[in-house]
Amino acid sequence: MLPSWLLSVRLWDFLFVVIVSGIILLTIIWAERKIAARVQMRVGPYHISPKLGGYLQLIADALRFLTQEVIIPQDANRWLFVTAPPLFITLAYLPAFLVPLSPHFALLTGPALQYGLVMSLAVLLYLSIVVVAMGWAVNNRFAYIGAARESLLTTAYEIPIILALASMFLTFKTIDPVGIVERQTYVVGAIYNPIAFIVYIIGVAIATSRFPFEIADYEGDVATGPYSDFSSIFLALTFGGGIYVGLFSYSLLGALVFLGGWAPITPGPWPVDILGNLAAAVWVMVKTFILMVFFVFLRSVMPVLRLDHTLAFSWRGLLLLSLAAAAVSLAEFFLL
Amino acid sequence: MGVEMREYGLVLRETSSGPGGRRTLELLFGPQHPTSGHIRFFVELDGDIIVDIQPDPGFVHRTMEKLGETRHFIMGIPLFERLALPDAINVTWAYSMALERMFGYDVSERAEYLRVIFGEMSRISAHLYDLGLHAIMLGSSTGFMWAFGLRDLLVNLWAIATGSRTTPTWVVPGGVRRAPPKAFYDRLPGFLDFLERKLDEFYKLVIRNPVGYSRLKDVGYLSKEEAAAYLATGPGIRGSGVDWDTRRDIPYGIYKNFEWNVVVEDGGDSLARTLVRIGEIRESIKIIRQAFKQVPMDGPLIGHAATHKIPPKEREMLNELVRLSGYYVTTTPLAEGAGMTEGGRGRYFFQVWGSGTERLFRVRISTPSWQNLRAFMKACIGARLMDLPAIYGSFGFFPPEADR
Repeated sequence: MLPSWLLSVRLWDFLFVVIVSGIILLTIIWAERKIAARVQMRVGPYHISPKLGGYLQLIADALRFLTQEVIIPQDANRWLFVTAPPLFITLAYLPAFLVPLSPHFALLTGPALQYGLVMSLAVLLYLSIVVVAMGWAVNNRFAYIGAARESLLTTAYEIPIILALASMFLTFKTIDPVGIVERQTYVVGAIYNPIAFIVYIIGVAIATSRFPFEIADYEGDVATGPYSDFSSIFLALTFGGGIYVGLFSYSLLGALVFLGGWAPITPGPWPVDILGNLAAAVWVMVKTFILMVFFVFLRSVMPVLRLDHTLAFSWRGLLLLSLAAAAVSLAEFFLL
Repeated sequence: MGVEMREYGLVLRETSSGPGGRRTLELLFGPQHPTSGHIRFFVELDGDIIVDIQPDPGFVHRTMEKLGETRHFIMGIPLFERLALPDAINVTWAYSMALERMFGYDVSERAEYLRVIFGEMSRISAHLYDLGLHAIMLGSSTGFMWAFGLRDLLVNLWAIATGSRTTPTWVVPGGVRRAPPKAFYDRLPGFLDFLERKLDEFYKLVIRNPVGYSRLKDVGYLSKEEAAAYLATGPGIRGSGVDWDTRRDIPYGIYKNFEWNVVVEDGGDSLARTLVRIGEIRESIKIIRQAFKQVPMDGPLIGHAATHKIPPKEREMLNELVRLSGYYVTTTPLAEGAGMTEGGRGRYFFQVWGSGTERLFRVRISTPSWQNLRAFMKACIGARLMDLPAIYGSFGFFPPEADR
């Protein structure tokens, strides 16, 4: 007989999230490089573990980042410079622990779980403040410009993302993630309200500085902006890995709200035992991974859009689109 | 409050010009910047707008002109092709042309055809190099990789013909140094076909891409009058609607034997300059295909006058390769000569004065990037900071070439 704590759902959820998200992060960065290489007539990561297609390159990179000398510029605000990167990755990672991965598979329980999605979104939207803090802490002009751009872009993506998720809450008549997924058993959220899905995709691309919105950290003029003076472990926590963690969290929310979460393709309840729950969680992660692959694929085909064009596009196009999504959801709220 | 502005804060500068003065940020763009190249720009920003920009070149000044005076004139060829390695053939062609006019050398017919083929390949190489760097400046890594991947095929052809990928040292006064082997002729047409096909894809992916298009369109405008007044050259001036090309207007080589057009775009913006580049690659492909049909497969590689200096034993293999020993025992006459070619980035001009010894008395070089710098600075004013890379790449500005 196993001790009772070993059967704890929370323990299993925690372990699952940590291990699977780690694997997904490794895979997505590897996939980004391999996909880009495929498009760009080259091989991509190869020399480390050639039999695995260079999959272990990421581990080698991580080791290099870990063992690199930690450099803090003389003019930097040391306190913020050191604390901002861990804060960045913590905030980016937190949503993965706030949402359920199956009806029974969650760290939170009871009423707290019902607010999981809202809390996740709130936490994720704090990321831009950390980025601005990093730009300020670095104390160099390129970082300042990058931080200013990040704060401008926040105005561009924040409202559309909130509106997109809010309209889905309207459509499903609930903010409870378990309830939201239950309503997507046959029709996923992206079909309920495709406009909201498009708005969410674009908003997330801006929020996680995916191409073509890699503006705050555009290498062409501000030399990776807020991250310009970060190196070693700090770079791994922010620009090298943290951004991907943020992308993972945003994609996880997207998978739950728009792609049906653990809702199976065929109707019928999941088995309620631990294997059934694990299978549901894996299914969520597969959807998350597919969303992430789309985001990283954009690097292969897109240049960077200009800041003023992005803001104009966001305020003229994306905001109106998100209002339209809200209108669609309002209609669904009364009709369905 | 406890934090000094000097320590933590934007270093802003108040200028008195304009109503009420304006607060600007001075940005030191380069020389250690991912997209600046070996040059520094003092960029004065008002918000996001560039109100003033001053170039600070000279970081890769290698005293090319002075070095040209201190060594044997034939050693100038490997030296000067380092001005612009992507465009090596056209640079050395201009230098060789200047030497030929000083010595009074003629060029053999076979060498003329080979020079046209390689000169156009060199133009393609320079254009691909610039297009690739322009693409990565815009953020499109795929455009960068494609352009450099295509250029890699081209330099491999160079390696087959000349033995070197980047420094062919292939044009010598009077002709060319080596005859391309059969493998070169076998692979050239296939490369041109592939280049043409891939160039269309590049055009669709980077320039017709809505994002790329909006980055290039109406950015870095340079009017026809300004382009002419600032003496822009190459795509920098043809993108502004000035119809001028050395190959046609100050003819050299045998370009008049072929059918081709000077590519001119009227836009005056980064898009027009990029389109000129792409159009010129297509024209170059056309020229190479025509020259490829007519190139004599046998015959001396250098003209009669230069042949006289070659020892008899080495004269026997002049159809295959040229040994440089004959050049090493040649001394320069007390004369001068000038050579002008149209490279990928614009007009290369060399003027040489002989001294009566094996060394030249003086070499004067004028390179297109240096000429384009003023027009480039002019085009930047009023643009946004994010446009700076887009304008930079559209001129194909190459600091090592500008600094000489």
